Amino acid sequence: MQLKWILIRFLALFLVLGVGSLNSPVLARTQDVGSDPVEAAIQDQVNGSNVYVSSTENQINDFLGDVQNFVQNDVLSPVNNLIQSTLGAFQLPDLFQLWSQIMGGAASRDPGAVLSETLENKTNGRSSYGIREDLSKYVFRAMATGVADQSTLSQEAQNQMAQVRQSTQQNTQESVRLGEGSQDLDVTQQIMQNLSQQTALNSQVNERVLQEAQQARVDRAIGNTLSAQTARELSAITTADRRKNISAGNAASQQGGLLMMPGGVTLGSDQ
Amino acid sequence: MMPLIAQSFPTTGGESDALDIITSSLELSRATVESWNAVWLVTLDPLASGLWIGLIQLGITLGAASILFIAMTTGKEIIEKQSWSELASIFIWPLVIMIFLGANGNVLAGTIKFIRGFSYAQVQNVLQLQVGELTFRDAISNVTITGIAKQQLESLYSECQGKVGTELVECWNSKQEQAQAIVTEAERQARSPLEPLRAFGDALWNASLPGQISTAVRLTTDPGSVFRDTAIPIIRFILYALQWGFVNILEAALLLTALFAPIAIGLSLLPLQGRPIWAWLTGFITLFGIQLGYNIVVGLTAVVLVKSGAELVSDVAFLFFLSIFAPGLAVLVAGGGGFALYNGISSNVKSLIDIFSNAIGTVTSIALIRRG
Repeated sequence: MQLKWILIRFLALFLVLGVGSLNSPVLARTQDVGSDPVEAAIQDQVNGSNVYVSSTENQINDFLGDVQNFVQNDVLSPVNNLIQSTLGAFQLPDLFQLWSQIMGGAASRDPGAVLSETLENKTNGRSSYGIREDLSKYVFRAMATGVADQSTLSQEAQNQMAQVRQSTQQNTQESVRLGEGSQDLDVTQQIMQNLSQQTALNSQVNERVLQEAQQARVDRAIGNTLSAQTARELSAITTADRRKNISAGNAASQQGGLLMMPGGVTLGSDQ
Repeated sequence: MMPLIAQSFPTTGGESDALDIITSSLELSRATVESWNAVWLVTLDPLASGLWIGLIQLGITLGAASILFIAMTTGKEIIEKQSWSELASIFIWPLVIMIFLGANGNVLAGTIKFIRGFSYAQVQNVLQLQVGELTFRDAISNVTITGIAKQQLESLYSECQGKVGTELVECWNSKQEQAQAIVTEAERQARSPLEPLRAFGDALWNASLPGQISTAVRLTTDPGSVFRDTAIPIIRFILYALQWGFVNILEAALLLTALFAPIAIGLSLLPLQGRPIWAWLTGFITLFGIQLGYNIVVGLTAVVLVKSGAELVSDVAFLFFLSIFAPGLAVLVAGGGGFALYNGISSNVKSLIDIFSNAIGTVTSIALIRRG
């Protein structure tokens, strides 16, 4: 009888342990709710998105601030005022409007325009078409290089890009970790494991796409800067040609006005 | 590329310099003429001009040396021959030297100034000659100012040279006001209407107006001729500079010749083939002859150009004429004339002086004989 009692107790213990061992995955899952890999991954993703979104916002705001800064630094105040007046909803200047206003003479009092006028265009007396056009193109070029610099090439922009890349890498790593983790889980359907693995691989691909996109962005920025530089050189040649032309004409006119005939007779009205 | 060009542009502050090129150049030119006159007065001042006094002293020194030379060579012969006429003749040049170089060359300076003033007036008067209703001077002014104004119009429109389409039209139209101002200013400076220039200007600012674009282009008012290569103003500049250089070198040559007068007079005592003073006088007059000839030939050509309405088209050609061919011609003609003048003066004066000194000698001999 005592042996039977011992046997029953042992059996009961065995059953309890057996049931416990059968329920162990569920238990384990229930117990690990706080550190569930999927939720953690989602959470991380959400947090990552927040990081990404906030960093993008910061980036835009910083960039806009920088646009104004570079405008203030690079272009003198009349043009700066014009640019301020043409800022759109995205806080970027409306280049078409800017062109129209400068060509309409709105920046004729710009010190550069006045100096250019004084230096080259004495026969004109007013801000000439060529000078206005030069100024417009100059603002365009300054805008292109400013945007390229402040959005991509500046130290701050590079830091932000590095942050974006870092957070993407974290997301990818987490995704990969989750994908690998799902291989060890007791999932009955093999397809779920495959899908999870595919998602992880997809994240890796996405990261590479981001890397390529960032590289392309850098290349574009550098390309834009170089294009602007080329445009500036071409513009310099054109401007120099125009000034040479005008100065040669002015020199000839001045020398012509100095014409005097023997006997002390000069041109025009009486002495 | 983009429309919206305001019809009137705000001023830029560069206006004070605008259109002043001709005016300032003309003023500068007048100042140059006045400076030349002032330099003549200052340099030939017997009291204050150190240069003139120094040259007079050099002339006197040379004259004194010449007198010694004459005394040693001719004096001996005269004593031997006891010829009163030769004795009288050797005193003529020392007297002349004394009169001209004495008192710091006051008489010489006055004589030079008188010759210059007289010749200057003649050279100036030539330009006031009228051919029809036009004086030489007006014709030269019209042709040159038309050329300068065209030059300025070319500079004005040059920046439209590389534009196409709407940009070309906008650029072209934006020049109208300034182009009109240039033409008006040119007419104001010339004090007479410049018809070809105005017609050219009209053609320029009517060239792009809808309905007024003319298909028939006249040579004299071809608006396309406002576009030109950069080399053209450089060529004009060089030609204008040549003309300026020619006129000023003539002035400088006159002054230099005037300053050599004391030396020429001092050396005139020497019994050379021709007296240096005549060579000097011939050179001096020849320089005025060059000026006179230049003014006549340029004035005539300018009148021809204005009368034929060709001053706009032939601006560069006229400059070549003004700066290269006319000076060459004037120098050649006046140089030949001067040479002939020198030969005439030196031979005739020599015989005149011989006659004069012979006469004095004869009179002295007769007086001595009668007394004896």
